[in-house]
Amino acid sequence: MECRDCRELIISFSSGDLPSSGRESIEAHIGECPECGLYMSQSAGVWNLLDEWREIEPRGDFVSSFWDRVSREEREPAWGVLPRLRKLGLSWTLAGALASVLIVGIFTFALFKPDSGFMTYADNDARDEQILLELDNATTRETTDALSIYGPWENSVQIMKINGYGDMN
Amino acid sequence: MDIDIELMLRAKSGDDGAFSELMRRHYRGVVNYIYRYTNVKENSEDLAQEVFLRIYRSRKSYRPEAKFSTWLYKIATNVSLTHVKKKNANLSLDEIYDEGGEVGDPEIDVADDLIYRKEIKDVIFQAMESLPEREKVAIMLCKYEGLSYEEAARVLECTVGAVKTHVHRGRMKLIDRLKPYLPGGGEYGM
Repeated sequence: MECRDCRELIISFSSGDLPSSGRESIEAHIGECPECGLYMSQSAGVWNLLDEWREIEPRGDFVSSFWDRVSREEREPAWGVLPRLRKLGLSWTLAGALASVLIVGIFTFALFKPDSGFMTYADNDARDEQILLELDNATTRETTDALSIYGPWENSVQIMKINGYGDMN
Repeated sequence: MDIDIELMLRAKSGDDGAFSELMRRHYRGVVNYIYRYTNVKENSEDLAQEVFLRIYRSRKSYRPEAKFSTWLYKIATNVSLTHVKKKNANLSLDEIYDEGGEVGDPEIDVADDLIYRKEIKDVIFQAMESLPEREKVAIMLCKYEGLSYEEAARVLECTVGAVKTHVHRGRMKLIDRLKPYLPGGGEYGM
């Protein structure tokens, strides 16, 4: 058994949680490894040392002062939104449902409000389509003009005009 | 049925007497858990009341899914942690460690045993405080509150194996830090 394995099992060994085979192998290892033996005694020592931090004795009126506190808090007005909501006794499910309805309501209102200044998706789509059509027409015109140099031509004067020589005269 | 669960179910249906009985069964453990977590005796009862107040407020939605004590110590850990975080934001470490409240009391200063107790308490607190949070809580629950590894695992929301590892690692670190106070403390290698 390795020292690391032995030390990991020492707590279980001390608390009697190990099966007999595990106990035997730890005992055998500790018998021949003084460092693990020392670790085992220190591990038990530190556990016992923690007992030196003694308990304190709470006041005897803990329970009655608790109820005083409860009645005091119930009498005091609740400040802020959360305590007020808590006083209403809203459950988390109901609060979540109300929040969802509120969000959907705000979204719907913003979408369909008349003269709101917001563009609807349909408006945007129509405008985009118009821009694309204009772009397409412009591209077609330019392409046609560019390809016209390859003919067909009626005479050579026309070719010169196309190539910018027409104004030379 | 577990007596705590039975009392909690009665409290849920409006029986405040059952809740009082539940508190009587557990307040001592909760006060001491918080005391050891914060090392402040004065606040520990107020904070323990805060723990029970949270449980009382949520009694209507209580469902007996786990052992009552695991729920109780989970809330106690959260309340203590929140308190320590708030406090650490305002105080230096020296101020926190000095808050035992017992030194300076003439009746205690003359008693060597009590001076030792005060010293050892602070030494243990500082050693525990130096551990990672989960190792500290695992050791406190298993050592001081007597929770089983299974119960501590539910409080820490981890596996039983992880709790054993936390306790083992924490214990190794405590040996290093508390060596001068151990009987015949020597060196060991790894």
